Amino acid sequence: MSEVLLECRDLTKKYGGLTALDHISFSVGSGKMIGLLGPNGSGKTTFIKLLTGLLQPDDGSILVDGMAPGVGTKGIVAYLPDNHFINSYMTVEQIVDYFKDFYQDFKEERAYRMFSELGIDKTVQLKTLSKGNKEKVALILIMSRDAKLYVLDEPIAGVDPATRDYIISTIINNYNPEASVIISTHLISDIEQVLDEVIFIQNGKILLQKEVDEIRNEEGKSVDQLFREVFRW
Amino acid sequence: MVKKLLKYEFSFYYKRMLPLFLVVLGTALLNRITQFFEADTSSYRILFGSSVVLLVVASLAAVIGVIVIAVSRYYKNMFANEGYLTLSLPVTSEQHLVSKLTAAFLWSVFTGICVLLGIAVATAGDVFAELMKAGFYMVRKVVWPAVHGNTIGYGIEFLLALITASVKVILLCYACLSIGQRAKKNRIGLSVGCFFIYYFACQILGTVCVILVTILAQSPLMEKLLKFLEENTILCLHLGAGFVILWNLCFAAVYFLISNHILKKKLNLE
Repeated sequence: MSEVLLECRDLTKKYGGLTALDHISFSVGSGKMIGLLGPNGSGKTTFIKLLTGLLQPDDGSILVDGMAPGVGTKGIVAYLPDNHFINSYMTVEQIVDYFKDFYQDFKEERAYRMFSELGIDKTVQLKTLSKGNKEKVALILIMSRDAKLYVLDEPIAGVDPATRDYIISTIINNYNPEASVIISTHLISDIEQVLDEVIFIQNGKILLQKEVDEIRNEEGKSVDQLFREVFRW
Repeated sequence: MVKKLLKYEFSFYYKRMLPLFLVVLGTALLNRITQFFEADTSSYRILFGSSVVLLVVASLAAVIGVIVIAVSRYYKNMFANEGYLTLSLPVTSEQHLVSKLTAAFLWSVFTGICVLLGIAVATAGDVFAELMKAGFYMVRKVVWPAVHGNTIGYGIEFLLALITASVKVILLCYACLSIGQRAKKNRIGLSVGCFFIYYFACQILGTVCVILVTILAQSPLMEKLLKFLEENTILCLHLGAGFVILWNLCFAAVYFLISNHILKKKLNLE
Protein backbone atom coordinates (compact mmCIF):
# COMPACT_ATOMS: atom_id res chain seq x y z
CA MET A 1 0.00 0.00 0.00
CA SER A 2 1.18 3.50 -0.79
CA GLU A 3 2.03 6.09 1.84
CA VAL A 4 -0.91 6.84 4.17
CA LEU A 5 -2.49 10.17 3.28
CA LEU A 6 -5.65 10.03 5.30
CA GLU A 7 -6.21 8.18 8.53
CA CYS A 8 -9.34 7.96 10.71
CA ARG A 9 -9.39 6.31 14.08
CA ASP A 10 -12.65 5.71 15.94
CA LEU A 11 -14.10 8.80 14.29
CA THR A 12 -17.47 9.63 15.77
CA LYS A 13 -19.89 12.47 15.14
CA LYS A 14 -23.29 12.92 16.74
CA TYR A 15 -26.03 15.43 16.03
CA GLY A 16 -28.01 15.51 19.25
CA GLY A 17 -29.27 11.94 19.66
CA LEU A 18 -28.40 10.92 16.11
CA THR A 19 -25.05 9.25 15.49
CA ALA A 20 -23.96 10.32 12.02
CA LEU A 21 -20.58 8.57 12.19
CA ASP A 22 -20.07 5.69 14.55
CA HIS A 23 -16.44 4.94 15.47
CA ILE A 24 -15.19 4.58 11.91
CA SER A 25 -11.56 3.68 11.29
CA PHE A 26 -9.82 3.41 7.96
CA SER A 27 -6.88 4.77 6.05
CA VAL A 28 -6.33 5.89 2.49
CA GLY A 29 -3.07 5.92 0.58
CA SER A 30 -1.84 8.47 -1.91
CA GLY A 31 -2.19 8.21 -5.68
CA LYS A 32 -5.65 6.64 -5.56
CA MET A 33 -9.11 7.38 -6.78
CA ILE A 34 -11.50 6.39 -4.00
CA GLY A 35 -15.27 6.18 -4.15
CA LEU A 36 -17.05 6.99 -0.89
CA LEU A 37 -20.29 5.26 -1.61
CA GLY A 38 -23.47 5.08 0.35
CA PRO A 39 -27.15 5.97 0.23
CA ASN A 40 -28.46 9.38 1.21
CA GLY A 41 -28.00 10.08 4.92
CA SER A 42 -25.31 7.43 5.33
CA GLY A 43 -22.73 9.89 6.71
CA LYS A 44 -20.72 10.73 3.58
CA THR A 45 -21.09 14.50 3.84
CA THR A 46 -20.52 14.46 7.60
CA PHE A 47 -17.28 12.58 7.05
CA ILE A 48 -16.21 15.07 4.39
CA LYS A 49 -17.02 18.02 6.65
CA LEU A 50 -14.89 16.48 9.39
CA LEU A 51 -12.09 15.91 6.91
CA THR A 52 -12.21 19.51 5.71
CA GLY A 53 -12.40 20.96 9.22
CA LEU A 54 -15.96 22.28 8.84
CA LEU A 55 -17.08 20.03 11.68
CA GLN A 56 -15.32 18.79 14.78
CA PRO A 57 -15.48 15.13 15.82
CA ASP A 58 -17.11 14.15 19.11
CA ASP A 59 -14.65 11.32 19.46
CA GLY A 60 -11.69 9.79 17.66
CA SER A 61 -9.31 11.47 15.29
CA ILE A 62 -8.74 12.21 11.65
CA LEU A 63 -5.34 12.99 10.15
CA VAL A 64 -4.54 14.29 6.69
CA ASP A 65 -0.89 13.92 5.79
CA GLY A 66 -0.23 13.53 9.52
CA MET A 67 -2.06 16.73 10.47
CA ALA A 68 -5.40 17.27 12.18
CA PRO A 69 -7.79 19.30 9.97
CA GLY A 70 -6.88 22.97 10.19
CA VAL A 71 -5.04 25.69 8.32
CA GLY A 72 -2.26 23.25 7.36
CA THR A 73 -4.58 20.68 5.81
CA LYS A 74 -6.73 23.30 4.08
CA GLY A 75 -3.68 24.23 2.05
CA ILE A 76 -3.35 20.68 0.70
CA VAL A 77 -6.98 19.56 0.46
CA ALA A 78 -9.05 20.72 -2.51
CA TYR A 79 -12.70 20.48 -1.54
CA LEU A 80 -15.72 20.63 -3.81
CA PRO A 81 -18.90 20.90 -1.71
CA ASP A 82 -22.26 19.66 -2.96
CA ASN A 83 -23.74 23.16 -3.27
CA HIS A 84 -23.09 26.46 -5.02
CA PHE A 85 -20.40 27.79 -2.73
CA ILE A 86 -19.18 30.67 -4.87
CA ASN A 87 -20.60 34.19 -4.64
CA SER A 88 -22.60 34.33 -7.87
CA TYR A 89 -21.96 38.07 -8.28
CA MET A 90 -18.27 37.36 -8.90
CA THR A 91 -16.99 37.04 -12.45
CA VAL A 92 -15.02 33.99 -13.53
CA GLU A 93 -11.89 36.13 -13.58
CA GLN A 94 -12.50 37.40 -10.03
CA ILE A 95 -13.01 33.93 -8.63
CA VAL A 96 -9.83 32.73 -10.37
CA ASP A 97 -7.95 35.64 -8.73
CA TYR A 98 -9.50 34.66 -5.40
CA PHE A 99 -8.26 31.08 -5.68
CA LYS A 100 -4.85 32.31 -6.89
CA ASP A 101 -4.57 34.62 -3.89
CA PHE A 102 -5.36 32.02 -1.27
CA TYR A 103 -4.08 28.72 -2.65
CA GLN A 104 -0.39 28.49 -3.43
CA ASP A 105 -0.98 25.33 -5.45
CA PHE A 106 -3.55 26.94 -7.77
CA LYS A 107 -2.62 26.83 -11.47
CA GLU A 108 -4.21 29.80 -13.19
CA GLU A 109 -3.21 28.73 -16.73
CA ARG A 110 -4.81 25.33 -16.24
CA ALA A 111 -8.07 26.94 -15.12
CA TYR A 112 -8.17 29.38 -18.05
CA ARG A 113 -7.32 26.60 -20.51
CA MET A 114 -10.31 24.60 -19.30
CA PHE A 115 -12.60 27.65 -19.32
CA SER A 116 -11.53 28.41 -22.85
CA GLU A 117 -12.16 24.78 -23.93
CA LEU A 118 -15.67 25.13 -22.55
CA GLY A 119 -16.16 28.51 -24.16
CA ILE A 120 -16.76 30.20 -20.82
CA ASP A 121 -16.00 33.92 -21.00
CA LYS A 122 -13.87 35.01 -18.04
CA THR A 123 -15.70 38.33 -17.77
CA VAL A 124 -19.15 36.84 -17.13
CA GLN A 125 -20.72 36.78 -13.69
CA LEU A 126 -21.38 33.31 -12.35
CA LYS A 127 -25.07 34.12 -11.87
CA THR A 128 -25.50 34.35 -15.65
CA LEU A 129 -24.25 30.79 -16.19
CA SER A 130 -26.47 27.71 -16.40
CA LYS A 131 -26.53 25.26 -13.49
CA GLY A 132 -24.34 22.83 -15.44
CA ASN A 133 -21.78 25.49 -16.28
CA LYS A 134 -21.69 26.69 -12.66
CA GLU A 135 -20.92 23.12 -11.61
CA LYS A 136 -18.19 22.97 -14.25
CA VAL A 137 -16.65 26.26 -13.14
CA ALA A 138 -16.57 25.06 -9.54
CA LEU A 139 -14.98 21.76 -10.54
CA ILE A 140 -12.41 23.45 -12.79
CA LEU A 141 -11.36 25.71 -9.91
CA ILE A 142 -10.90 22.74 -7.60
CA MET A 143 -9.11 20.60 -10.19
CA SER A 144 -6.78 23.50 -11.07
CA ARG A 145 -5.10 23.05 -7.73
CA ASP A 146 -2.12 20.74 -7.31
CA ALA A 147 -3.54 19.45 -4.04
CA LYS A 148 -2.50 16.32 -2.17
CA LEU A 149 -6.09 15.29 -1.59
CA TYR A 150 -9.16 16.16 -3.65
CA VAL A 151 -12.48 15.75 -1.91
CA LEU A 152 -15.47 15.91 -4.22
CA ASP A 153 -18.88 15.74 -2.59
CA GLU A 154 -21.54 14.53 -5.04
CA PRO A 155 -19.83 16.12 -8.07
CA ILE A 156 -22.13 14.45 -10.60
CA ALA A 157 -25.47 14.68 -8.80
CA GLY A 158 -28.17 16.72 -10.49
CA VAL A 159 -26.42 17.32 -13.80
CA ASP A 160 -27.20 16.02 -17.28
CA PRO A 161 -25.29 12.99 -18.67
CA ALA A 162 -23.12 15.15 -20.97
CA THR A 163 -22.05 17.36 -18.05
CA ARG A 164 -21.49 14.23 -16.00
CA ASP A 165 -19.07 12.92 -18.65
CA TYR A 166 -17.30 16.27 -18.75
CA ILE A 167 -16.93 16.31 -14.96
CA ILE A 168 -15.53 12.77 -14.86
CA SER A 169 -13.05 13.43 -17.66
CA THR A 170 -11.98 16.70 -15.99
CA ILE A 171 -11.28 14.83 -12.77
CA ILE A 172 -9.29 12.09 -14.52
CA ASN A 173 -7.26 14.42 -16.71
CA ASN A 174 -6.41 17.09 -14.20
CA TYR A 175 -5.72 15.66 -10.81
CA ASN A 176 -2.22 15.58 -9.47
CA PRO A 177 -1.14 11.90 -10.04
CA GLU A 178 0.58 11.75 -6.66
CA ALA A 179 -2.60 12.88 -4.97
CA SER A 180 -5.68 10.95 -3.98
CA VAL A 181 -9.23 11.76 -4.96
CA ILE A 182 -12.19 10.95 -2.75
CA ILE A 183 -15.45 11.06 -4.65
CA SER A 184 -18.62 10.83 -2.63
CA THR A 185 -21.63 9.71 -4.62
CA HIS A 186 -24.51 7.31 -4.91
CA LEU A 187 -24.34 7.34 -8.75
CA ILE A 188 -21.87 4.49 -8.92
CA SER A 189 -22.21 3.25 -12.49
CA ASP A 190 -21.06 6.62 -13.82
CA ILE A 191 -17.80 6.73 -11.93
CA GLU A 192 -17.05 3.06 -11.42
CA GLN A 193 -14.58 2.87 -14.32
CA VAL A 194 -12.31 5.53 -12.78
CA LEU A 195 -12.17 4.20 -9.23
CA ASP A 196 -9.24 2.29 -7.71
CA GLU A 197 -10.87 1.66 -4.37
CA VAL A 198 -14.31 1.92 -2.78
CA ILE A 199 -15.56 2.54 0.72
CA PHE A 200 -19.16 1.58 1.45
CA ILE A 201 -20.77 3.55 4.24
CA GLN A 202 -24.17 3.08 5.84
CA ASN A 203 -25.72 4.49 9.00
CA GLY A 204 -22.40 6.04 9.91
CA LYS A 205 -20.47 2.76 9.73
CA ILE A 206 -17.95 1.49 7.22
CA LEU A 207 -19.35 -1.68 5.67
CA LEU A 208 -16.53 -2.38 3.27
CA GLN A 209 -13.25 -0.98 1.99
CA LYS A 210 -11.83 -2.79 -1.03
CA GLU A 211 -9.87 -2.36 -4.24
CA VAL A 212 -12.18 -2.28 -7.26
CA ASP A 213 -10.11 -4.99 -8.98
CA GLU A 214 -10.53 -7.20 -5.94
CA ILE A 215 -14.30 -6.83 -6.13
CA ARG A 216 -14.30 -7.67 -9.81
CA ASN A 217 -11.93 -10.64 -9.48
CA GLU A 218 -13.07 -12.15 -6.19
CA GLU A 219 -16.78 -11.41 -6.26
CA GLY A 220 -17.15 -11.44 -10.03
CA LYS A 221 -19.31 -8.34 -9.83
CA SER A 222 -19.13 -4.71 -10.73
CA VAL A 223 -19.06 -2.17 -7.92
CA ASP A 224 -22.56 -1.09 -8.93
CA GLN A 225 -23.85 -4.66 -8.62
CA LEU A 226 -22.20 -5.13 -5.26
CA PHE A 227 -23.54 -1.79 -4.04
CA ARG A 228 -27.08 -2.78 -5.03
CA GLU A 229 -26.68 -6.06 -3.18
CA VAL A 230 -25.26 -4.53 -0.03
CA PHE A 231 -27.75 -1.69 0.13
CA ARG A 232 -30.81 -3.67 -0.94
CA TRP A 233 -33.95 -2.78 1.05
CA MET B 1 -3.44 36.42 4.78
CA VAL B 2 -5.33 39.18 6.62
CA LYS B 3 -4.21 41.60 3.87
CA LYS B 4 -5.65 39.31 1.20
CA LEU B 5 -8.90 38.87 3.13
CA LEU B 6 -9.13 42.64 3.60
CA LYS B 7 -8.67 43.15 -0.14
CA TYR B 8 -11.84 41.13 -0.80
CA GLU B 9 -13.75 42.66 2.11
CA PHE B 10 -12.95 46.18 0.88
CA SER B 11 -13.86 45.32 -2.69
CA PHE B 12 -17.22 43.96 -1.46
CA TYR B 13 -18.03 47.11 0.55
CA TYR B 14 -16.66 49.43 -2.14
CA LYS B 15 -19.01 48.10 -4.82
CA ARG B 16 -22.05 48.49 -2.59
CA MET B 17 -21.23 51.63 -0.61
CA LEU B 18 -19.76 53.80 -3.36
CA PRO B 19 -23.15 54.31 -5.09
CA LEU B 20 -24.69 55.25 -1.72
CA PHE B 21 -21.88 57.73 -1.04
CA LEU B 22 -22.38 59.26 -4.47
CA VAL B 23 -26.11 59.60 -3.79
CA VAL B 24 -25.42 61.34 -0.45
CA LEU B 25 -22.97 63.80 -2.01
CA GLY B 26 -25.22 64.26 -5.05
CA THR B 27 -28.27 65.13 -2.95
CA ALA B 28 -26.11 67.46 -0.83
CA LEU B 29 -24.94 69.22 -3.99
CA LEU B 30 -28.53 69.41 -5.25
CA ASN B 31 -29.54 70.99 -1.96
CA ARG B 32 -26.72 73.52 -2.21
CA ILE B 33 -27.58 74.41 -5.80
CA THR B 34 -31.24 74.85 -4.82
CA GLN B 35 -30.16 77.48 -2.31
CA PHE B 36 -28.76 79.66 -5.13
CA PHE B 37 -32.31 80.18 -6.33
CA GLU B 38 -33.60 81.26 -2.93
CA ALA B 39 -36.90 83.09 -3.21
CA ASP B 40 -39.88 83.72 -1.01
CA THR B 41 -42.14 81.51 -3.06
CA SER B 42 -43.95 78.31 -2.25
CA SER B 43 -42.32 76.49 -5.18
CA TYR B 44 -38.87 77.32 -3.79
CA ARG B 45 -39.88 76.12 -0.33
CA ILE B 46 -41.17 72.86 -1.78
CA LEU B 47 -38.00 72.41 -3.85
CA PHE B 48 -35.71 73.23 -0.93
CA GLY B 49 -37.71 71.06 1.48
CA SER B 50 -37.62 68.15 -0.95
CA SER B 51 -33.87 68.44 -1.41
CA VAL B 52 -33.39 68.45 2.39
CA VAL B 53 -35.60 65.37 2.72
CA LEU B 54 -33.64 63.67 -0.05
CA LEU B 55 -30.36 64.42 1.70
CA VAL B 56 -31.66 63.09 5.02
CA VAL B 57 -33.05 59.94 3.37
CA ALA B 58 -29.80 59.37 1.44
CA SER B 59 -27.72 59.83 4.60
CA LEU B 60 -29.95 57.44 6.53
CA ALA B 61 -29.76 54.94 3.66
CA ALA B 62 -25.96 55.10 3.78
CA VAL B 63 -25.90 54.56 7.56
CA ILE B 64 -28.43 51.72 7.45
CA GLY B 65 -26.72 50.37 4.32
CA VAL B 66 -23.34 49.95 5.97
CA ILE B 67 -24.95 48.17 8.95
CA VAL B 68 -26.94 45.81 6.70
CA ILE B 69 -23.90 45.11 4.51
CA ALA B 70 -21.68 44.39 7.54
CA VAL B 71 -24.22 41.99 9.04
CA SER B 72 -25.22 40.23 5.82
CA ARG B 73 -21.60 39.96 4.65
CA TYR B 74 -20.62 38.18 7.86
CA TYR B 75 -23.61 35.85 7.80
CA LYS B 76 -23.55 34.95 4.10
CA ASN B 77 -19.80 34.73 3.80
CA MET B 78 -19.34 32.56 6.87
CA PHE B 79 -22.51 30.60 7.52
CA ALA B 80 -24.44 30.33 4.25
CA ASN B 81 -23.27 28.45 1.12
CA GLU B 82 -20.30 30.77 0.64
CA GLY B 83 -19.05 29.59 4.03
CA TYR B 84 -17.97 26.31 2.42
CA LEU B 85 -15.39 28.25 0.44
CA THR B 86 -14.53 30.90 3.03
CA LEU B 87 -13.98 28.39 5.79
CA SER B 88 -12.02 26.03 3.54
CA LEU B 89 -9.37 28.67 2.91
CA PRO B 90 -6.04 28.12 4.65
CA VAL B 91 -6.83 30.96 7.03
CA THR B 92 -7.47 30.93 10.79
CA SER B 93 -10.84 31.92 12.21
CA GLU B 94 -9.11 34.77 14.06
CA GLN B 95 -7.87 36.16 10.75
CA HIS B 96 -11.37 35.92 9.28
CA LEU B 97 -12.82 37.81 12.26
CA VAL B 98 -10.12 40.49 12.26
CA SER B 99 -10.53 41.17 8.54
CA LYS B 100 -14.32 41.35 8.76
CA LEU B 101 -14.20 43.55 11.85
CA THR B 102 -11.63 45.92 10.31
CA ALA B 103 -13.60 46.32 7.09
CA ALA B 104 -16.91 46.86 8.90
CA PHE B 105 -15.37 49.41 11.28
CA LEU B 106 -13.50 51.38 8.60
CA TRP B 107 -16.51 51.49 6.26
CA SER B 108 -18.66 52.73 9.16
CA VAL B 109 -16.09 55.52 9.63
CA PHE B 110 -16.11 56.29 5.90
CA THR B 111 -19.91 56.45 6.01
CA GLY B 112 -19.77 58.91 8.92
CA ILE B 113 -17.24 61.02 7.02
CA CYS B 114 -19.41 60.92 3.89
CA VAL B 115 -22.51 62.09 5.82
CA LEU B 116 -20.50 64.92 7.43
CA LEU B 117 -19.12 65.83 4.02
CA GLY B 118 -22.69 65.89 2.71
CA ILE B 119 -23.67 68.32 5.46
CA ALA B 120 -20.59 70.43 4.67
CA VAL B 121 -21.52 70.54 0.97
CA ALA B 122 -25.17 71.40 1.68
CA THR B 123 -24.19 74.16 4.07
CA ALA B 124 -21.15 75.42 2.14
CA GLY B 125 -20.81 79.17 2.28
CA ASP B 126 -22.20 81.44 4.99
CA VAL B 127 -24.09 78.70 6.84
CA PHE B 128 -21.00 76.50 7.01
CA ALA B 129 -18.88 79.41 8.22
CA GLU B 130 -21.47 80.13 10.94
CA LEU B 131 -21.52 76.47 11.98
CA MET B 132 -17.74 76.33 12.18
CA LYS B 133 -17.66 79.59 14.14
CA ALA B 134 -20.22 78.24 16.60
CA GLY B 135 -18.22 75.00 16.89
CA PHE B 136 -14.97 76.81 17.65
CA TYR B 137 -16.77 79.07 20.11
CA MET B 138 -18.13 76.02 21.93
CA VAL B 139 -14.66 74.48 22.14
CA ARG B 140 -13.00 77.72 23.26
CA LYS B 141 -15.61 78.94 25.73
CA VAL B 142 -17.27 75.79 27.01
CA VAL B 143 -15.14 72.68 26.39
CA TRP B 144 -11.71 74.25 26.95
CA PRO B 145 -12.45 75.70 30.41
CA ALA B 146 -14.32 72.56 31.45
CA VAL B 147 -11.38 70.31 30.64
CA HIS B 148 -8.83 72.78 31.96
CA GLY B 149 -7.05 73.06 28.64
CA ASN B 150 -6.51 69.31 28.27
CA THR B 151 -8.59 69.12 25.11
CA ILE B 152 -6.24 66.75 23.29
CA GLY B 153 -6.15 64.31 26.21
CA TYR B 154 -9.94 64.23 26.50
CA GLY B 155 -10.24 64.17 22.72
CA ILE B 156 -8.10 61.05 22.53
CA GLU B 157 -10.05 59.41 25.37
CA PHE B 158 -13.35 60.28 23.70
CA LEU B 159 -12.11 58.94 20.37
CA LEU B 160 -10.87 55.71 21.98
CA ALA B 161 -14.19 55.29 23.77
CA LEU B 162 -16.01 55.79 20.47
CA ILE B 163 -13.76 53.36 18.58
CA THR B 164 -13.99 50.66 21.25
CA ALA B 165 -17.77 51.12 21.49
CA SER B 166 -18.09 50.67 17.72
CA VAL B 167 -15.85 47.60 17.76
CA LYS B 168 -17.91 46.21 20.65
CA VAL B 169 -21.20 46.65 18.76
CA ILE B 170 -19.83 45.07 15.56
CA LEU B 171 -18.46 42.09 17.51
CA LEU B 172 -21.75 41.79 19.40
CA CYS B 173 -23.56 41.48 16.06
CA TYR B 174 -21.05 38.84 14.92
CA ALA B 175 -21.45 36.91 18.17
CA CYS B 176 -25.28 36.97 17.86
CA LEU B 177 -25.07 35.77 14.24
CA SER B 178 -22.63 33.05 15.25
CA ILE B 179 -24.93 31.86 18.04
CA GLY B 180 -27.92 32.06 15.70
CA GLN B 181 -26.31 29.78 13.10
CA ARG B 182 -26.32 26.96 15.66
CA ALA B 183 -30.08 26.65 15.18
CA LYS B 184 -31.51 24.08 12.78
CA LYS B 185 -34.15 26.49 11.50
CA ASN B 186 -34.77 30.23 11.55
CA ARG B 187 -31.16 31.15 12.20
CA ILE B 188 -31.66 34.85 11.51
CA GLY B 189 -34.58 34.85 13.98
CA LEU B 190 -32.40 33.35 16.70
CA SER B 191 -29.62 35.85 15.94
CA VAL B 192 -32.02 38.79 16.23
CA GLY B 193 -33.48 37.18 19.38
CA CYS B 194 -29.99 36.95 20.92
CA PHE B 195 -29.37 40.61 20.17
CA PHE B 196 -32.62 41.77 21.79
CA ILE B 197 -32.26 39.48 24.79
CA TYR B 198 -28.82 41.00 25.32
CA TYR B 199 -30.21 44.51 24.81
CA PHE B 200 -33.02 44.01 27.31
CA ALA B 201 -30.67 42.37 29.82
CA CYS B 202 -28.45 45.47 29.62
CA GLN B 203 -31.47 47.74 30.10
CA ILE B 204 -32.61 45.78 33.16
CA LEU B 205 -29.09 45.79 34.60
CA GLY B 206 -28.82 49.54 34.01
CA THR B 207 -32.16 50.15 35.74
CA VAL B 208 -31.10 48.02 38.71
CA CYS B 209 -27.88 50.07 38.98
CA VAL B 210 -29.84 53.34 38.94
CA ILE B 211 -32.18 52.04 41.65
CA LEU B 212 -29.21 50.93 43.77
CA VAL B 213 -27.51 54.32 43.41
CA THR B 214 -30.77 56.07 44.38
CA ILE B 215 -31.17 53.87 47.45
CA LEU B 216 -27.56 54.39 48.47
CA ALA B 217 -27.63 58.14 47.70
CA GLN B 218 -28.08 59.09 51.35
CA SER B 219 -25.56 56.60 52.71
CA PRO B 220 -22.24 57.83 54.19
CA LEU B 221 -20.33 55.82 51.60
CA MET B 222 -22.06 57.61 48.73
CA GLU B 223 -21.52 60.97 50.40
CA LYS B 224 -17.81 60.22 50.65
CA LEU B 225 -17.75 59.17 47.02
CA LEU B 226 -19.52 62.33 45.87
CA LYS B 227 -17.11 64.45 47.89
CA PHE B 228 -14.18 62.65 46.32
CA LEU B 229 -15.66 63.27 42.87
CA GLU B 230 -16.06 66.94 43.65
CA GLU B 231 -12.49 67.32 44.84
CA ASN B 232 -10.92 65.25 42.07
CA THR B 233 -13.08 66.00 39.03
CA ILE B 234 -10.26 65.83 36.49
CA LEU B 235 -8.90 62.54 37.82
CA CYS B 236 -12.40 61.06 37.97
CA LEU B 237 -13.16 62.11 34.39
CA HIS B 238 -9.99 60.40 33.18
CA LEU B 239 -10.74 57.34 35.31
CA GLY B 240 -14.30 57.29 33.97
CA ALA B 241 -13.11 57.45 30.36
CA GLY B 242 -10.53 54.75 31.06
CA PHE B 243 -13.21 52.60 32.66
CA VAL B 244 -15.52 52.99 29.64
CA ILE B 245 -12.69 52.07 27.24
CA LEU B 246 -11.72 49.06 29.35
CA TRP B 247 -15.38 48.02 29.70
CA ASN B 248 -15.84 48.18 25.92
CA LEU B 249 -12.63 46.24 25.31
CA CYS B 250 -13.57 43.50 27.80
CA PHE B 251 -16.97 42.98 26.21
CA ALA B 252 -15.49 43.16 22.71
CA ALA B 253 -12.98 40.46 23.72
CA VAL B 254 -15.78 38.24 25.07
CA TYR B 255 -17.82 38.63 21.84
CA PHE B 256 -14.71 37.91 19.76
CA LEU B 257 -14.03 34.74 21.77
CA ILE B 258 -17.65 33.58 21.41
CA SER B 259 -17.58 34.00 17.61
CA ASN B 260 -14.13 32.47 17.35
CA HIS B 261 -15.12 29.45 19.43
CA ILE B 262 -18.21 28.84 17.31
CA LEU B 263 -16.24 29.22 14.06
CA LYS B 264 -13.62 26.78 15.31
CA LYS B 265 -15.66 24.20 17.16
CA LYS B 266 -19.39 24.64 16.63
CA LEU B 267 -19.92 25.30 12.95
CA ASN B 268 -23.26 24.26 11.55
CA LEU B 269 -23.17 25.21 7.87
CA GLU B 270 -26.41 25.16 5.89
